[in-house]
Amino acid sequence: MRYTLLLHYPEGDVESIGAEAMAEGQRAFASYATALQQAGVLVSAEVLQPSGSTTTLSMPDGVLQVQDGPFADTKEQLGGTFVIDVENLDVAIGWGRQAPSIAWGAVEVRPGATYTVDGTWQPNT
Amino acid sequence: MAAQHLSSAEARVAAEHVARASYGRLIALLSASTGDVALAEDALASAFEQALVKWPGGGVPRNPEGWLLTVARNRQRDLWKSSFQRTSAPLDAAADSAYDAVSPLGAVDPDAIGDKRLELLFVCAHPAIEPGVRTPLMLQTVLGFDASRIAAAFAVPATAMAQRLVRAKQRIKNARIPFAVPDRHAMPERLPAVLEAIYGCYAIGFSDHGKDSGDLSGEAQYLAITLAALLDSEPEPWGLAALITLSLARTHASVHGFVPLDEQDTTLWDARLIVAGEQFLRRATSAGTPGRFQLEAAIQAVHCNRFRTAQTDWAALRTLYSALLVVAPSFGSRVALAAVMGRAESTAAGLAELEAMAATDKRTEASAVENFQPFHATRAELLDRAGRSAEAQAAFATAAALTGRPAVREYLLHRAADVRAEPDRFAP
Repeated sequence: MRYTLLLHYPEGDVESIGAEAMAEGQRAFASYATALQQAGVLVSAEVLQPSGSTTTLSMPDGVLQVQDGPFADTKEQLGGTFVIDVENLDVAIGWGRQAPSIAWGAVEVRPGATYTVDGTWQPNT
Repeated sequence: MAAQHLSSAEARVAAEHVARASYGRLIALLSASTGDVALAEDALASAFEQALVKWPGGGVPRNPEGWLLTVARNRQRDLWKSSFQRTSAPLDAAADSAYDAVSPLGAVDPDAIGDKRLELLFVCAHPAIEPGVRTPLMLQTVLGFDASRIAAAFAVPATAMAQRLVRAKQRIKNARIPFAVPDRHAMPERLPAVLEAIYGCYAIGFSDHGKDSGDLSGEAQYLAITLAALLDSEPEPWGLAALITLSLARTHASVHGFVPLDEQDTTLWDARLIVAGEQFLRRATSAGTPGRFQLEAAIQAVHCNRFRTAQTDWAALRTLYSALLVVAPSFGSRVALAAVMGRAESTAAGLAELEAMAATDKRTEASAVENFQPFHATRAELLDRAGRSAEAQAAFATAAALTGRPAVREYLLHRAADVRAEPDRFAP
């Protein structure tokens, strides 16, 4: 069963958090990814650029609108995702609580519905 | 004691408990293999329907539970396949293999498979399930109550309760909450929610919600004993079983209007339940790791002991409440401690404790003490005993206005009127 760990946290850059804290965070994420990989549960992982770089598209009344900024302008933003393949919710929660960003934000553990393999949809079982 | 004679009412209750144990065991077994509680309920309902058709002619099978399980499993398999086909037609093969992978149709003897109700209790009180629906979910899946009866007990519309239960069961299936007993390492963070949900079932039995709610305290006792027996070595479930059993022992003393605990006629208490509760408590405390429910049960045991000694050991209660405040601080136990201090030490000491509590409370944002009925009822009692009649009368009236229980309100208003009838004993 695939679960996506959605990491939400207040955004910060090197200036606001400091170079040392930033480096420490990166080390923590590196060893987290290693642990997931060694356990054989890591499907994919991605840490996103801050929402200052994002562009949101929508089409109200059939007219494309291109907007500078995130879909929801909240203090905490989606900062990264880890897709893991584990037996059940308890195991997924067990990994989610170890995500380094839990120290400064929330980790959402969301079961997947379907995913693609070579472009073909597969049920998440 | 000689073999106990069962009255017909008791025999009926015993029979109902056996049927209930079967229901919960079968739902637990059926849903553990698929994670789908709603599917298990449908399949078991269908098996019961078949039993009603087949058993009158062919006789009751020697192993009725095994018969029901086999029929329900076949039905479950059919339902599982057809629902899979409806939602994703090209995935037949996947449906077959997925079902077989999680549900080997080998053994059908429930005794051989073991009791899965413990797993089901942990599913119902899983942290991913909203706290407010945990108790209703237990009542439905473990005890077989229908949604409308649960709704009546919780004083919510039947459709709303049904929706919440459906949603919770979908969550269990879709998020794949495992049917597993947490290991020793995870037990301390998972067990309290199960205990809390069972305690919630007991508490609702004593509220004034729907007419069925009174029965729920008995159901809570059944759930607590089931949990304690299945976990066996954990002390707190035995503590909860003891607490509920000892409290149930006293219900007959308050059937004709509210009577405060220390004024209850002990001949109306159920000695058998007191002895049973004390046995559960001994079982709990033998582990040597005290906890909230063991302390609350011990407090009940001290009160219940009055049926033997004709007096209340206030000093013991003071010690137990002080310990309870450390383990599980709450307004309720702090007020109770003040009441006990009013007896064990002096009326002034009890009032001082309440005043200290109110002073701390004023410093917080929402003044919870102000609307906390037991605070005012206890204060009224202590003021009355101190001879401060006018204040006592006002406090009884405040407490009466805050309670939702008609019997308690009647008692408090009666007390307020009594104070008024007497002149201020210490007034100049």
